[in-house]
Amino acid sequence: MNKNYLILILLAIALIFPLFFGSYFIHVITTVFVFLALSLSWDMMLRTGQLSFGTAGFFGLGAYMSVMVVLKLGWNPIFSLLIGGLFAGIIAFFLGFVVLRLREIYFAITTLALTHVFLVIAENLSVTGGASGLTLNRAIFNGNSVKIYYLILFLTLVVIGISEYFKRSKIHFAINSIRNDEITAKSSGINVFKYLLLVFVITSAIQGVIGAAYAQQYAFVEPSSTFSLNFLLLPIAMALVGGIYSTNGPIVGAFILGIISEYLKLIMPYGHLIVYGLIIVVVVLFMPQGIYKPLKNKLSNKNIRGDANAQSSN
Amino acid sequence: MPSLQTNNLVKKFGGLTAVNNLNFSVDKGEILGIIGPNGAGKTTVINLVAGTLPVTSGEILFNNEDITKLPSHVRNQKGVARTFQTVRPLEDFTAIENIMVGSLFGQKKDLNKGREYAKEICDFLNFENINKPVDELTVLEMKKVEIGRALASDPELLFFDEVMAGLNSEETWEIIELIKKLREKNMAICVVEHIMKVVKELTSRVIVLDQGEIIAQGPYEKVSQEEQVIAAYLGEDD
Repeated sequence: MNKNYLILILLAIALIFPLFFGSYFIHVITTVFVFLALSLSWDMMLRTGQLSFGTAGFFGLGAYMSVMVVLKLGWNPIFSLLIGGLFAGIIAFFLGFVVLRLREIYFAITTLALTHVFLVIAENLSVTGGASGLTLNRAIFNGNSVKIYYLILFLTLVVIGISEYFKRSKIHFAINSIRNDEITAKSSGINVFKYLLLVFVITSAIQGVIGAAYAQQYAFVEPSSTFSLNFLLLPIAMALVGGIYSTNGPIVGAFILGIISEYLKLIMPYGHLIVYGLIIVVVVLFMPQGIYKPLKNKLSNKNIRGDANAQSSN
Repeated sequence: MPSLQTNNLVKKFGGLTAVNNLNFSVDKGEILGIIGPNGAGKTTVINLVAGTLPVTSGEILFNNEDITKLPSHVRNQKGVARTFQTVRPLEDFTAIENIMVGSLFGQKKDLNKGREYAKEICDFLNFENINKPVDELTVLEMKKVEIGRALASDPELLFFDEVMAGLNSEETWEIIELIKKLREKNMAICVVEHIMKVVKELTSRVIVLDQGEIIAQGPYEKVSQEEQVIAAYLGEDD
């Protein structure tokens, strides 16, 4: 019950937030949501045991496809988000037949290489605008930061919903088994490849939609900034800081790192990159479970002790 | 009709022939013992039939259907289940969740029915600590999780790979009784075992493997007297 109230309160805060803050803060939180959704999608793939470095790649595919259909075909920008996600999902489906035969570091390196392949292709085709990229005449909603905030909030809530569905359905049992022991999973009737492909396609499509939304917000795509490793490293850092294999971990991590990084940008340009590195090292060394899980355990222990005290005083 | 029948089964690892022209069958309601010295190819036979390893040549018939080329998850869904020699629990799950994996995917049940079925299996196994994480389980409980996951897929053919290893005598008898109950359910069962009192107690027939070939078969009492078998276990006199 308590937990449901907390979720409702947080949701209410998220909904009324733009009424009380100026466009700068709205912009900061919008960016946090973008990275939060990427972080969750990366974590969802990690739950299968596969470390994907392709987040920035599928983000960029969605971004490019979305900008192209708006610019060249004049399609509705909101509809273009779906197209961006669909395109990233379809590419992931076909690549999945090759890359999902790989495991561990080989899978990770190959997905990283694919990101670079996408970048080189975007740089060299005329339809993608070559090295200078493509620019839209205007941003989505004419750049209205409040409307963009609600759009990205909606997308983020959908991603959170998908992540929770993953945790509460048979998918959870399948992908957790695959991560723990693939041979046991196979001999217990789990179609390992089917589930890996399903999760790879869904998470890539999410990254595509988020990339599309990001591109529509800024009204341009450009190879090196659209396929930037920022869209890979920051989401990973957020999930690690908050705690992996969960929905709440990446959410907590995204807010902590997102807000710290914004603050650091103000006091020292590019200094935030050094601090990310430090945070990742410290968290991995001293808090391998992230922040969320130990915090939750501590709080629930306190509750138990509190209850015990209340009972003994009666 | 035999539940399992293999025809000229061969498995080569590079130049090493681990299983060589193996022909054997198991009937429903029968417990077949597979014995032999270390490296005889016993576990490899399980890996081939369960689909954990691909065969080099030969065919595997399950209920008269050729399953040689099927992936292992499909074989499990059709009714072939196994345990592993060294237990392979899914460490992020509790005991009951480990067992549920078998009913969820081996039988394609939904979450509620899968959990209910897993609970029934736990009752059958006389297993109480069902909500413990697997790393807090005793050796016997760990074995029960391993057996439970295999049973939860509702198999018709079940392989036990040295399931008694590491158990004390009392615990061994508990598992022996469980396996006997499974035979009464008309399951076809193969027991790979090093402990001869278990083989003697459970099996109606054994095959003795040495270097991937059957060197003797028949009831345990008869086979254990054969010179070739004794030589394979103890080494030959020169």
